[in-house]
Amino acid sequence: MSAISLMLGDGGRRPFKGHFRWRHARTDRAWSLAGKLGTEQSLPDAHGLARAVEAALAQTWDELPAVAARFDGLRAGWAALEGILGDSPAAASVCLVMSGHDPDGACVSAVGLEAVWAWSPGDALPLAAPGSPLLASAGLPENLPGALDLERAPAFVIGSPAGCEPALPEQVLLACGWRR
Amino acid sequence: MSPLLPPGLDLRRGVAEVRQRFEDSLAQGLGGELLAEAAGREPLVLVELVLGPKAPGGSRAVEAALSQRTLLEDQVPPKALYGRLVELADASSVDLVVGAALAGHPVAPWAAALLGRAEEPARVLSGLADRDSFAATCESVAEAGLDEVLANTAASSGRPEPALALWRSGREGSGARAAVRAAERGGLVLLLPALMGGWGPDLEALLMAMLPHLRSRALANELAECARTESARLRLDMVAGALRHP
Repeated sequence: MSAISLMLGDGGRRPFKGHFRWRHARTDRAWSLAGKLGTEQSLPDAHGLARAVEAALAQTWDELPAVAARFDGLRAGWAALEGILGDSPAAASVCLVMSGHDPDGACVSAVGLEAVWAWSPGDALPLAAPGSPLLASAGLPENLPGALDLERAPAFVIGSPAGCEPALPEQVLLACGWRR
Repeated sequence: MSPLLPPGLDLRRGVAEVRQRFEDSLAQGLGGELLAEAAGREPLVLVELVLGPKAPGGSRAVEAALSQRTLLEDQVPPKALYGRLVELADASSVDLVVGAALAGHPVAPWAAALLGRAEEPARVLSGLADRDSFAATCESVAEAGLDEVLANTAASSGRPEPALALWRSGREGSGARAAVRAAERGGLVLLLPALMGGWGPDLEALLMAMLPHLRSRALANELAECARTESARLRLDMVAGALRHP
């Protein structure tokens, strides 16, 4: 079980401008998010916002109780995002995918994407049909978004925002900036 | 100033005399002026003088030719033009030719390949760092496989573009080395937004990729300060302790 959240990079020379990613893993449960914001701002400003989001999520998930369920981590994650971005201009540009898993299953929540995939080597499964709440328009939602419940956690949950660079299946992870 | 080529001289029929006058003008530092006159009367004679089989070599001839490069490019494909000028250049002028080729044709693969014939290729490429096309030129140089040139350019310019170009070409190790060389010059913190904009949001993976290329303790310590996980910090601290270079 891993359910590592990733987001495809944009086109151009700075495909990951304003991108953020964080993962908090425990023995039998984990939460992660990947997204972008501030892409219309300067490179240093977008970078600063992205790192601030990562720091906020790191602290939030670190403080979760040992027995926190998968949905608890997602709720806490959205609350942390609301806390740090609030109604700032950057909040309106947020696109992200957030996932979590515990011994009973996995869950995925997202905003501002064109597609969300459960991805494992040699296997890609779309998680949201057109019109799904997972594919809501960009921007931090006013109300807590829903989450898709999965029986098992995929290796990766990949978010595909509008305008992202298309990638061949064997290059998907690299197109997300996953270089491990 | 009186003309360097007599008005009555038939340039096509009198190429030998024109060539002699060109060589004399080079000795007087007037090669560019003579070429301009020749170009105004017989553009093909300009080509013959500068690029033909009997064209004089050396820095004065090459500098004179470069002063007329716009006219020459109207007559000769740039790849052939600059390739021939590199052949005619000496050690003190070859970098001028390569720099002019890259400045005029910043994304041409043949121009990037000419860097391999420069005396100080990193100096030539660093000289283009303030141009809008610098990132594209670095990508062209990366495609030409000149990783060492890009690493040295990063070292001398402190710019992130060489590393980003190498990553776009799929050469992660070379890119990480160029990132380290750039950071050695100006520090990592100011470079991070640009580096992560090309590398991706995984800072720890970036720091670990840079780790094998570290040479200075100060930079290793800076990387350790940026690290957000204990394991990355510990590894960088260990490397910092082992480096001799302060």
